[in-house]
Amino acid sequence: MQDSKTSIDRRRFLKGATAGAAGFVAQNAFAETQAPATQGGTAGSSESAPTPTSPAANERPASDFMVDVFKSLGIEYAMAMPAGNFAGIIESVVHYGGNRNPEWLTCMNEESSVEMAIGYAKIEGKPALVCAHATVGLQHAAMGIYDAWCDRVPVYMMLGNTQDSAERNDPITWVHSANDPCSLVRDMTKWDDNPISMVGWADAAVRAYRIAMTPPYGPTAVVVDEHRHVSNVAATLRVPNFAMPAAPQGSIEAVREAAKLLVAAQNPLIITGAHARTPAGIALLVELAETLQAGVIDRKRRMNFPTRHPLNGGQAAQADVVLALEAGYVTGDARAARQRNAKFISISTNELFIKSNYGDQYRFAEIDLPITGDAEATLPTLIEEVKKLVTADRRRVFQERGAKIAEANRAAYERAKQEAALGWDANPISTARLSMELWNQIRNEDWSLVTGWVNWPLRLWNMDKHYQYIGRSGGEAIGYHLPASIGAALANRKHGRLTVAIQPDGDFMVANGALWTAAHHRIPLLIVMQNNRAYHQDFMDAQRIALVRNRGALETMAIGTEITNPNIDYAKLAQSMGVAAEGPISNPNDLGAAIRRGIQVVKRGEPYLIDAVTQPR
Amino acid sequence: MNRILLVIVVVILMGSGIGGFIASLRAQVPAPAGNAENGKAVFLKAKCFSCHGTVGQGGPGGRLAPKPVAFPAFRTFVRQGKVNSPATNRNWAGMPPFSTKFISDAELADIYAYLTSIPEPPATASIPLLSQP
Repeated sequence: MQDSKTSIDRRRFLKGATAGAAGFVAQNAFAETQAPATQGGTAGSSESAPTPTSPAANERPASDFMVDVFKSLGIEYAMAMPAGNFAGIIESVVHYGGNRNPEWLTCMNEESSVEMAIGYAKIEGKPALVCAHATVGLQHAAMGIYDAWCDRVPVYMMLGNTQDSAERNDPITWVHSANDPCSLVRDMTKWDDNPISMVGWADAAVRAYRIAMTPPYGPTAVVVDEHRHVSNVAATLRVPNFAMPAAPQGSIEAVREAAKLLVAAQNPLIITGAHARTPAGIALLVELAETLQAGVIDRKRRMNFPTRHPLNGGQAAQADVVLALEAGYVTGDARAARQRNAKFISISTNELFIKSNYGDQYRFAEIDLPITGDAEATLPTLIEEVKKLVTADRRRVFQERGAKIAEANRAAYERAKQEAALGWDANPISTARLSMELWNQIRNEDWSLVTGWVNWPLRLWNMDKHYQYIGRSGGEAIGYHLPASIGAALANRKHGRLTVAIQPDGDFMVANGALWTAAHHRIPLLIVMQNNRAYHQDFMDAQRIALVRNRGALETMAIGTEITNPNIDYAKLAQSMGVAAEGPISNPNDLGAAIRRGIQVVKRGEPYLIDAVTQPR
Repeated sequence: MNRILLVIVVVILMGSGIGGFIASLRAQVPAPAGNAENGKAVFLKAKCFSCHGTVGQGGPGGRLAPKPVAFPAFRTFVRQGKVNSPATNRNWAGMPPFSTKFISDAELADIYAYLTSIPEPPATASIPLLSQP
């Protein structure tokens, strides 16, 4: 049960003995002068890259063993921009693992790898494997990791590094190595490890998966040593057993107290953000809301509650008891509740795992009954306790309350349609028109919307399944939507779902190499650009500041924030990477036919892009 | 006659409050004549559309058309703005003030004429995509 590094040590010893001191000097001189020419991609390669040796009879390649561990965890996909210091994993996945479970996906930026894994996990409910160079790759990946951290998404990373400084034999390897690579992202990962042996790696790999999948979900990282993973290990090295962790639940006493408050309330309100980790989360909230006839405000970091349910909505200002379920930012809600003497209950895992550097914990919320536990896992108990307390009299009151909420929601839906009609024929295309042209052609399909920037679908589409909406980026930066959409479409592929994305242009340009990944791996996805030709939020901010300061000129206010002159031809850009595309389209009457053409291509199993030029929002 | 006028004024004040009374007087002030075509050009050049949409349908900023607010209120809103600055509010947002350095009085009248010229949207019942379940 001991991993073998003897063969690689022998190789290094022989290499050093034959080369001698003169050879060492020559090697370094070569590396210094030729280094740029040997560099490939982000990660590059190095003169000190290890050479694997054939395993002895009682040995096997370490990276084959790693693939067995990945398979034991049920990992379907590996997403990575290649790097020499985890090349053994690529080789083993393909030639030992048969490139299935995991299947290797070629990404063009490590941030894209992570964002793809986020989109995949939001649909499939489990992590993909992300491999990255621990130094130069991890720095690219950091933004994606931050998105996963803020969004409570499980991402499972293996990071290649040359651990032993004695094995860093050239300048490239030195600048491509770190003593503690994960320190870069430790403030935004749940756990990391830097194991030495393959026994230690196996424990770390399984532990990292379990921690990532224990609510609150989050990213984890394990460092893989460049030399150890291409060495050989004992053939008997055992894969550790893995069992999926049960989610932590709120204490029964606190849940009973919450049930009492909710049943006694005149106007209870439920606020959810991301409580539905699984499809069961939606059904549970429907059951609770219907039992109480309470309105639900779904802030839609996930698909938590059906958009057309009669109880979808509610008046926060009238609520005397508020129940927040993994609702994220509730500081203002709790403050407002306090001001009107309402009680505020929260069920959340947020305080089970939190770090202090980044602000994703938000301003302190004054909550009357904070229940620490996973909301989805706690809901069955809460529902049971609520049902125990509901009398016939209360049920009559509840029904009257529910009828009023339903009527208010019908009115809100009609209002939304009237607002959508404003600018219906505008050129460029209104985002409401774009949304409804898309909805018109997918509504009878098994569809999945995997972007969350335009909010018209939330107001007007009929969403009731967990995969029909997956929210926005956790870190609210740009560069998420395109790769995350592709990762989500990948997860939807085996289910035969029609995946659609409404893609902001600024976000698209951060990592558009992800399109090539979609084309190369035949990931079916319909991308409809929301091309407003600007970093629009930033334009509004810059314009506002100039006008408040009363300086500059109308012509100069867009400097630095517009994406014009030249306009980007997104269709040609997509076509250059093998993605069928058309546009730009700015006449709303042309959009429906384009979407129809796109769906035909997507149904054949390929991505398609429509460059729709739109109103700013 | 003066007593009758006084009674009318008192009734209006009681019914709508002083603010409402003043607003009702302002609403009677006719908007200056403007050129809708030029107004559209200025509306686009000043990038009013970035918040309000190219036909004033609204977006991050409020809806401006059809049926814009009375011209005095419109003028006040454009000239004074309503910005929540970081000093008074955590959110830097709201309508910025457009001084005459950026939009002249004549151009403001033109913009108003443009907004006034924008027709009502079609009824939702007449739009198939908005009338289906």
